[in-house]
Formats: sequence, structure tokens, C-alpha cells
Amino acid sequence: MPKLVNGVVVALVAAGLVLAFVGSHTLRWAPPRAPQKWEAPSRNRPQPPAPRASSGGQPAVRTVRVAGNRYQVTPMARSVPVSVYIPHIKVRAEIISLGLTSSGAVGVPSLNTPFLTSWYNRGPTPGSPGAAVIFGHVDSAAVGPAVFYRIGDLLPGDLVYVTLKDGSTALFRVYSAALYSKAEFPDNTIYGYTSWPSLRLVTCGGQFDNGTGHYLSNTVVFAQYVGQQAGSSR
Amino acid sequence: MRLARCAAATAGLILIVLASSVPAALAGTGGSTANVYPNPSAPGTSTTFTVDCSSAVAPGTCTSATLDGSSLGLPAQIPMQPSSQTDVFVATVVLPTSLAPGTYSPEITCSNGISETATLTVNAVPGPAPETGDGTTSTATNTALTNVGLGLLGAGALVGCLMLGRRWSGRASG
Repeated sequence: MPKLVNGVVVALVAAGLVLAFVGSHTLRWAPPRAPQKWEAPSRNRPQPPAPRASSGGQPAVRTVRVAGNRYQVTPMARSVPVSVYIPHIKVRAEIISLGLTSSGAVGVPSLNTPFLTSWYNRGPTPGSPGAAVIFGHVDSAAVGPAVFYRIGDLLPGDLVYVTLKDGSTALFRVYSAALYSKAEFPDNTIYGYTSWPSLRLVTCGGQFDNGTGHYLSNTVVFAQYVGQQAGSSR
Repeated sequence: MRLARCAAATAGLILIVLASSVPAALAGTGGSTANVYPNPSAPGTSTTFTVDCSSAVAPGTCTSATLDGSSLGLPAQIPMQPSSQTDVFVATVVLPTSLAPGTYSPEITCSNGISETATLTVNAVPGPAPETGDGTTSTATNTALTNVGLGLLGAGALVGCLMLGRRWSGRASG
């Protein structure tokens, strides 16, 4: 009987030591995954779809059917985005409108609201010609993985829905993604004008620098406008 | 005599007015315009200027046009390329990345004497790259596992203590 108890004590202490050691030396979450390498985004700027001749001679508004809904293939009127939905990574988030901070950096949501995203309000609105840019945190001490933790998992063809204040929905299709060093952040590739509407999702990624408390890179997902759905609620 | 002098003065005045209005008419009635695309643009963005130099008096006489890019931090004389349309010239420039946000009014001068002002709004591009994360998923250790381990350690210590205590009390009584 005492031998058995002895064994139990030794086992408990040994298991406890091992678990405590392993727990304090492993990460609770996997670090954010970098996007797979696809075609270079700068060489693949969104282009408007080729116009299709209509019988009446007038250019007809083309519609496409995607995931059971019809979308009109025409740029949208300017309206502020209010929410974003990315089915593949199960992200459904509110969008707030932010400009630049006093230091000239782009505004991002507070780390205390890690499931909010922000739209850069000095650029075009989603669905208008140009590149609309949406930022989200990758992680936050309050919750661990944050709203854009998994955007590195997005693949070409994945869909992104952005609902605007006027009730319409802009549909985008992912066509590229990349990890850029913050020291060489390609402003023109991200914010630069595109004649056909486009969207960029931006978060942090790459190595984390414990000294500065910042990630050294940014993950950027590039998406091209497919079309608009009027008055839908997503 | 006085009447004649007055008439001459009036005629002279009319001539001066007419003469001064001729260049204005030349420049103004041809529908000449300058356009910028995209507008608003942004630093580092490829931006296209288009000018219509057509003059009502002498259409099709413009052979070249130059864009004054000095206010944009570009060369003062940027030659514009002829387009498929008569009197229409085009120049595409890349705005310097250092260009401050604001409204700019570069001048375009046509070879037939017409000059146009293009109005371009330049939006700001954010400076530093965005900070979107605090490193939690890259640094936070597995505290749940650690806590379980510490719990097991504690349980082992407790059982061990109880056992030692019982052994001692057993020895004392026996």
C-alpha cells in the first residue's frame, strides 16, 4: 500500500514538472501563417471584364451569378463600408472609418476591439474605381487570435463581401496575397490607383520583434471587384 | 473740330478694347480644356494629364504642348505626346512619393499660345506601415498547460506530505 502511494506521488510530481516545463516553453497559439506565394500582385492589377456586345447596340449591364446570387458588373456609387464577410475563414466583422493619425500613420482599430476592422477613408470606397484598403488586427492580448488572424490562409478565388452604408453589397474575389517587410512596405502596390475597383486586406505577420513589440512584416491580400448586389443584407 | 477729336478718341478706345479681347477670344472659345486622371491622385501614382489645345480661330494648328511639373516636384518642361485627336496632347507622369497632399494647379502651354491650368488633388498616403497586432499569438506561452502541470505538482506534494505525516505518526504510536 505505501509503495503504491509512493509511486503515485512520484508520477504526479514528474508529470507536473514535465507539463509545467512544456507549457511554459510552447506557444499557446500558432503564429500567424504567411500567405502562400502566388503571382506578383503588381503585375496582376485588376482589369475590368471585357465588355460583351449586346443585341440592342447599347452596352448592357452584365450580371454574373456567384454563390446563388446575381451581381451587376458595374462600379458602385461612393458609399462608406460598414461590414465585411469572408466565408472561407469564417470572418464577419464590422468596419469603422479611419484616416491618418497625427504621426501620418494609417489609423487602425484599438487593440481593445480586436474583432473590428477599419477602412482607410482617404481612399476610394469598396466597389469604386481604385484600391479600397481594410485593416484588421492579427492578434491581441485580450483574445489571442484577432479578426484577420487567418487571412494568410485565403486562396485565389476566395470571396469577400463588403456591405456598404447604402445597403448594397460589393463582391470581391481574392487574386493574390503577399508578405511585405514593414521597412519596404509597397505603398503604391497597396494604395495605388486601379481603374477597375479592387480591395486590399491588410494585417501584421512575419517575425515578431520582442524588442520593439511589433511584427516585422505585413500580410496583404489582394482582391478584385466582381460586381454589386443592390439592397441585400449580409 | 472737337467732335472729330472725340470721334477719333472713341474709335481708338474701341480698337484698344477689340485688340485686347482678340487673344482672349482665341484662347477661350475653342473649348480648350485640361483634364487629370485619376483625380484625386496620390503620391507614387501614375497620373495622366490631357489637354485640348484647339482654338476656334485656327483649329488644328497646335503642334506640341508642355506640362509645367515644377509645382509637383517634376521637371518644369514635360513634353506632352500627341494623341489620336487633333490638338489633344497627353502626358503620363508618376507623382513623387514625397509629394505633400493638397490641391495643385500645374500649367500646360500649347504651341499655338493657348495655356491651360490643370487642377489636381493629391491625397495622402500613409507613412509608416500599419501596426496590426501585439504579438500575442507569436509570444504567449501555453499557460493552460503550465497551470495543469503546476496543479499536478501541487497534488503530488500534498499526497507526499500526507503520507510522510502518516508514516511519522505511525512510528510514534508504534
